[in-house]
Amino acid sequence: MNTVTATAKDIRRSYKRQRFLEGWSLFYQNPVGKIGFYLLILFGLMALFSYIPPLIDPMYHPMTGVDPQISYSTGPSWRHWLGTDNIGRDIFSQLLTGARVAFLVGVSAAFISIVIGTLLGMIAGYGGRIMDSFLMRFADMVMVMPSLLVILLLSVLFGQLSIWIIVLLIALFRWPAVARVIRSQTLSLKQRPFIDMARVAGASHMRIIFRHILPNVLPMAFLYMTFRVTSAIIVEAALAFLGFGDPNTVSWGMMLQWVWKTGHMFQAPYWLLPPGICISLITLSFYMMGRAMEEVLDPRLRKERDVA
Amino acid sequence: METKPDPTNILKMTNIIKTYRSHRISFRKPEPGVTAVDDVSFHIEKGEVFGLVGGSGSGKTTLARLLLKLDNFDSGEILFDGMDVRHLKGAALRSFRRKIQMIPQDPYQSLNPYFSIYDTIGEPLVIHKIGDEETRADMIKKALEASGLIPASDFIFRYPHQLSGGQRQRAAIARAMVLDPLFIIADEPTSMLDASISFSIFKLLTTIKRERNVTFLFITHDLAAARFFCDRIAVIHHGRIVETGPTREVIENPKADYTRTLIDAQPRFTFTRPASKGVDTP
Repeated sequence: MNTVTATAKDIRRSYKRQRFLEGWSLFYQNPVGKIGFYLLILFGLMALFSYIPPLIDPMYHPMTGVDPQISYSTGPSWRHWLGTDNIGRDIFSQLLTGARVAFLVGVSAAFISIVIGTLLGMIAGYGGRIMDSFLMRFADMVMVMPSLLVILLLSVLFGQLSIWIIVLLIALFRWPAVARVIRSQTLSLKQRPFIDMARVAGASHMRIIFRHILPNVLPMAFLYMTFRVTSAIIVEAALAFLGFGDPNTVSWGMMLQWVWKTGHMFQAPYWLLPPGICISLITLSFYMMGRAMEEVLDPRLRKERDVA
Repeated sequence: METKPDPTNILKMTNIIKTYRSHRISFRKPEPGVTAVDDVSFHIEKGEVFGLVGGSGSGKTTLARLLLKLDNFDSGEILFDGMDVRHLKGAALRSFRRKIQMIPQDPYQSLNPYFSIYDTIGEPLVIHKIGDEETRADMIKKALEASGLIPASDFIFRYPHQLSGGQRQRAAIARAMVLDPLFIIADEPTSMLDASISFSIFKLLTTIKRERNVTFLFITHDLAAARFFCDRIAVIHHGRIVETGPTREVIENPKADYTRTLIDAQPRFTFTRPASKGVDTP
């Protein structure tokens, strides 16, 4: 009999793998998804390779490495592929590190906001009435807050914020949209007979929320995670550009701020353009992946594309 | 809440009223709402099949929901196996849930798409902490075989979308039976299935009734099905019970007008063609 339970786990696993592969092939057939995915791989490689330049020569360290022969901004050369900034730091190395920071900020802020949003959305949708009104009014209040402005004020009050505090703040301001979507999904799931059947079987509220509703809303949560990544990266870049980023990290927004502050905006396109383009492309990449995932998850969108 | 269990009646409903109101907060007079169940009383004896017959919107499904404690009723009393259903909580509610199970109406909506058949049928066992993983697997297999999904090993690891409508309904029956309940509510179990599959589901329910000591509440809009399956029936119309009695008696000698309407609405097969009466015979 032990074999039955062992196979139960195997089959469950293989079923999940099969579902994933089906979804993946649909995703990959979509040119939008494919482009987004390759862009993402490109940035992933950049983030990985960011560890290499400082190992080759300490002068390539993005923060502290200064080329001893250069004390002003220079254009691209074999020694510095994208040139150097005004004190002789390597721009290419900074760009690679920026990818790492962008991933860190984007993914962790998105993850935290998804966890909060999904939990509160499910509780609001499932709890109904008072719980629902209370949580959703709270979500509305957070949603209408101008998050960038509030974070700016906080950093004025408390001095320079570290990158992790910024991540946390972004997450805390960005969950309401997720909560709304998950709530509406939960509301429609709650009416489905299998939830009633679970209650008839004696399932507790916890069990219904986490075993029955959560797996059904999880794909949607992941979809929204890609959009949250985009907005988190943009907020962080904006903060850094305005001079309220973490001074100990090299993010693309920070690089733009250095260009601006040192007055190289119009003198050094090799310094200005790479971080700007990177911010645009990485947000585009997550956005495109999100759109392609949306088509995988929503069969109605899929049909439309097949006809066209 | 345990009072004296009635030796003959497993279920007794007295003067149940349920009104649905909109939850909108309004400063005007409260709206009257819709009375779905209006002063309904009946009892069900142990071991019998009791039919609840009525058209759409007559309140029969609402009654089932009240009985399963999926909704609360406004007034009246439901006694099930000596338990006062209205005030059930905690452990008493759990033991109530173990004794009463439901066969759902729509097999396409009543199974969680993310649960395999093994998980679906095993869930009640997990919730009620019956057996360990090995004995559970055994019980799940037996329940599948008893509800006609044979061989069980072919079905046990499938997901709902890999089953046909009839197979899903059998899986739902297996889930209801796995706890070995005293009482089963079958809410139009065949309304979403075609005729031949309906017939096999009826045969399965008849077998279950014969082999186990189960009482059925059978909800249907179909008098023919009620006649085939039920010992006694109640006819419900606009939330009120208009007639109760042994099935044969009610159908052969209807007293209420609505019962007569229902009987007249039954399709009849006349094998003699209305020939030679012109082409435009209806």
